Amino acid sequence: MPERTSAKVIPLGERLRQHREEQGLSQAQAARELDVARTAYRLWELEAAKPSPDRWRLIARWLGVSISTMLLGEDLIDQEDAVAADRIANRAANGAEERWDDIAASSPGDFFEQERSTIAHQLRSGRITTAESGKLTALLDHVLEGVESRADQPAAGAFRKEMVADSSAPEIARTALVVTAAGVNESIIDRAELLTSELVTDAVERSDGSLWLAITLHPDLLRVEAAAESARMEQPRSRDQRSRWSLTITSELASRWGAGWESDLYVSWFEIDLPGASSVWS
Amino acid sequence: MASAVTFEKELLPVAQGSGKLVLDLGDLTFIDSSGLRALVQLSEQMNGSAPLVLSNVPHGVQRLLDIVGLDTLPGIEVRNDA
Repeated sequence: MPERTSAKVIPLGERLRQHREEQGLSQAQAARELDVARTAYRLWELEAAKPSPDRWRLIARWLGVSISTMLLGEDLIDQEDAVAADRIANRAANGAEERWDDIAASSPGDFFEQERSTIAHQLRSGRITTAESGKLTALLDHVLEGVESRADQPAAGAFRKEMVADSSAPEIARTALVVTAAGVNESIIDRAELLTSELVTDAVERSDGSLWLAITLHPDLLRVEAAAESARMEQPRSRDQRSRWSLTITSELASRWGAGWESDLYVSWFEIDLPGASSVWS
Repeated sequence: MASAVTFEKELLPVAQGSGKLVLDLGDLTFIDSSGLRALVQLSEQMNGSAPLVLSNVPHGVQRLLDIVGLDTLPGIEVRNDA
């Protein structure tokens, strides 16, 4: 786990966003470079999902940092361990023809198996000591424990928020949807994002001030509900072509949907049936 | 909604009095009914002088155009070269 760590710990999501913006890339372009779905990449930047270990090498190379630095940003190791791992790897690489990561990447197995065999290889070659081998192995065990404990955590499945009903609300709601439904199939997220945008745009047009958004992820169902505070029990002012399209889109893409008045709140909702279980990892 | 407003502000003046206008949508990752309305307003602004051409329309966007029938509207032409 090579190279240099910086003094300031930068969370992986922030590091990804900074690097992408420095490169002048969109999230879709960054996702293509990292060979991952756009939604998964977005979730990484939002810290709503974690890249799986088989992506770590590629991400670290793309960012131009060591894997230790990347794992530090993922809170999987502490700064002292990251510095120690990089120091050992740097010394092992000094005078050697291959970088630690190149040796590891060409080894069989998953990330952890590759690292273990590289540690053994470096020990056999005399590039690291027995004590250093023990230190790196213990560190690797610690990282694996961290990864496994994360996998046991249930995905956050609910979002409730009062929002200002202005033109920024649909985009904020879409981001909330993507984070709350992290792990759900990308094509379903795409549908739900569009439906959420339609739902919240309609709520903004009807609202006299506030709107409430509720997103709930069940094992077999994604439900999004918007409630707009409105004194006008009538159609919105702009019941125009856009509103008619919005209705057509919702009818076409939602599994179920509905809308109506509850006291002075206009409540609208949609549901999408989920075909399979969700996962924290992407 | 906010992006549609920005889009209208930036492009409506361009459309006024211009000839053919081609929008390359290849990098478009999201559009909703507000964005579609902005496209229609842009084509209306061109006053029938030439069609608004949408090129390299991504699959997801094309599906939305199909759902609302936008590409059947006069003044809008979808051209997928890719």
